Amino acid sequence: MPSIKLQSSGGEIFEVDVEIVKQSVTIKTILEDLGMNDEGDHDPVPLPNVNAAILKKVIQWCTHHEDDPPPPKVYENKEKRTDDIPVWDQEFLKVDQGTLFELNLAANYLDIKGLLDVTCKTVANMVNRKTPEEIHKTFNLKNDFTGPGREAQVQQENQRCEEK
Amino acid sequence: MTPELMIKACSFYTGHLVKTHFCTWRDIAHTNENVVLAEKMNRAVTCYNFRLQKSVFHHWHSYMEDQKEKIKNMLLRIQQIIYCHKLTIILTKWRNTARHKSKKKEDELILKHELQLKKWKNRLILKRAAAEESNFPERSSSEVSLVDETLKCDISLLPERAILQIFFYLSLKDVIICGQVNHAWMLMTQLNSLWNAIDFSSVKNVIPDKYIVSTLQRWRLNVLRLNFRGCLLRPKTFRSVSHCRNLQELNVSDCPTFTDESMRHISEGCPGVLCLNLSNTTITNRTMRLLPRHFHNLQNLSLAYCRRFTDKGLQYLNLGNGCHKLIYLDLSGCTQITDSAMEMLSAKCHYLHILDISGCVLLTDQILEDLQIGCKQLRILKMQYCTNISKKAAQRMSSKVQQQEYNTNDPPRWFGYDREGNPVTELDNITSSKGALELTVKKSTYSSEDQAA
Repeated sequence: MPSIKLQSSGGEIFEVDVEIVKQSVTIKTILEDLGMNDEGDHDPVPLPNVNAAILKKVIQWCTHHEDDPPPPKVYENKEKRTDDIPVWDQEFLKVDQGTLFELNLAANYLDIKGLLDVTCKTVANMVNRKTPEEIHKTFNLKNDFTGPGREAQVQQENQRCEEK
Repeated sequence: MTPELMIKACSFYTGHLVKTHFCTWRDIAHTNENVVLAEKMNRAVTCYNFRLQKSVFHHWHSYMEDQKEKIKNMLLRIQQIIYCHKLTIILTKWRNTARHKSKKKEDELILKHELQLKKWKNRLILKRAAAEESNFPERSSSEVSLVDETLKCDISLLPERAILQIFFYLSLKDVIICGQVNHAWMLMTQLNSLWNAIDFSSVKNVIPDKYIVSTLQRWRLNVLRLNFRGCLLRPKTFRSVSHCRNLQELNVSDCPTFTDESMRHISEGCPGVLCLNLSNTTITNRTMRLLPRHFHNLQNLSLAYCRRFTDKGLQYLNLGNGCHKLIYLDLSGCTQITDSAMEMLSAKCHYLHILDISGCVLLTDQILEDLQIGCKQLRILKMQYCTNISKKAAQRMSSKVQQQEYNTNDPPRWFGYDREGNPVTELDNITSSKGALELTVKKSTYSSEDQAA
């Protein structure tokens, strides 16, 4: 099986099967653009936006999902369900928020649709059916709308945007 | 005087005479020759001069011709050079702009990372972790994230694509709540593409009409898909839908307050509608007249359980330029329609792929004949409870389509009509029997594939 070297932002090098890594549209495009054949011995592909820990997790996810069928093209027709995350992915994403967000960023940068989708669903589940106060608590955010006139401020902001 | 002397004198005289004559002749001839020669010479000189001129001219001409060619080539080259120069200038400018943009982007990214880094740093100081680890923002973030379990992360810092996907999974209510979290989150909920599709049905009893109107007003150019299913709204609220000029999909099914008047406003404001779901509304023939007039590109139309329009209304549908591009048509539960209306429909809608006439109890075998002639592309045909369509005709039809549902059972009681199309008076507990409907449909379904098996 031909393999490829990926270099994380910290300089660590990971050797992965080409077929596994082709789930990332970004890497796939790089490989095609550079006209790399499937024989090894290439310089490692630098991924300056992904650090070693996250890259390791991404590779782990890609390895597990190697044989997945390609995702459907139009996501407009997809149902708005967030409770259909596979068990393995649920376990895989039982990580702290920082890692989850880094994974989401990495999935977006590497253009791995399945991983992006599943991380987005997880984040959506964290927001779903919560009050603003609960969201503040979940994501450790501060309410920067001053005082009790929050509603009014929202209204004002909306007005401002409308005028734009 | 001797004869000899005489002869001698004579011959001498003759000789002399000849000599004189010869000399004279010679002289004359000589002069003549000279004149001719001179003349010839003159002509020769002229001729020579002419020839000379000609050859010189020839040389000159070819030289000029060459020169001309050279000038032409030179001009072309100059033009090419100018063109190249222009391209180079454009390219340089473009490159500069691109470089500038990418730099800006990079700066933004760095700024973002720095912001994150600061947050991590603060945490780190608290945790007394080594400071040198945070030299590299991305690295440090991961290092820390493995240590610290409750890190502050903000969805609003994610790229737009991820934000859109997250919000795609949230209902309208959650989106509104997210807008109240803080400024950054509020700006996040104001991404244009977030409002391409609005589903008001998920918040139908919570949301006031006023909010719907202002939302539609604000995002009127972004809205492509609207779902009002089951919303009990004021007729005036529906009118504001007509501001959404780019609307492609509208679902007003189960909206008891949706009327012909609302439809009139919408049809005048939104010419690009492709999918329209009017099921279980009180629309009449007036709406059926509007559809072909305004929605030339209509592809999906559901009129299920609309019982106020008549055969004539269905015939309006194909008037003029009308809805000839229909791919999907749902007429289920329209007990009032008869064969004559379907005849015209099947003659005009050549692209029809899916047709649902379940519960149209007045339809007979005739419409299957019409469909076979007019709608060659028909793939899925549903005709549950069509008591007047014979099993034989249905079987013949099943070979023409990919999937067919057919039975001649009595319509279920929630349907509200008996097998003759007369209304059943007692109508109890519609909601609970809907589940029963799903069951019956599943049980009685038979497709042509099943038959083949």
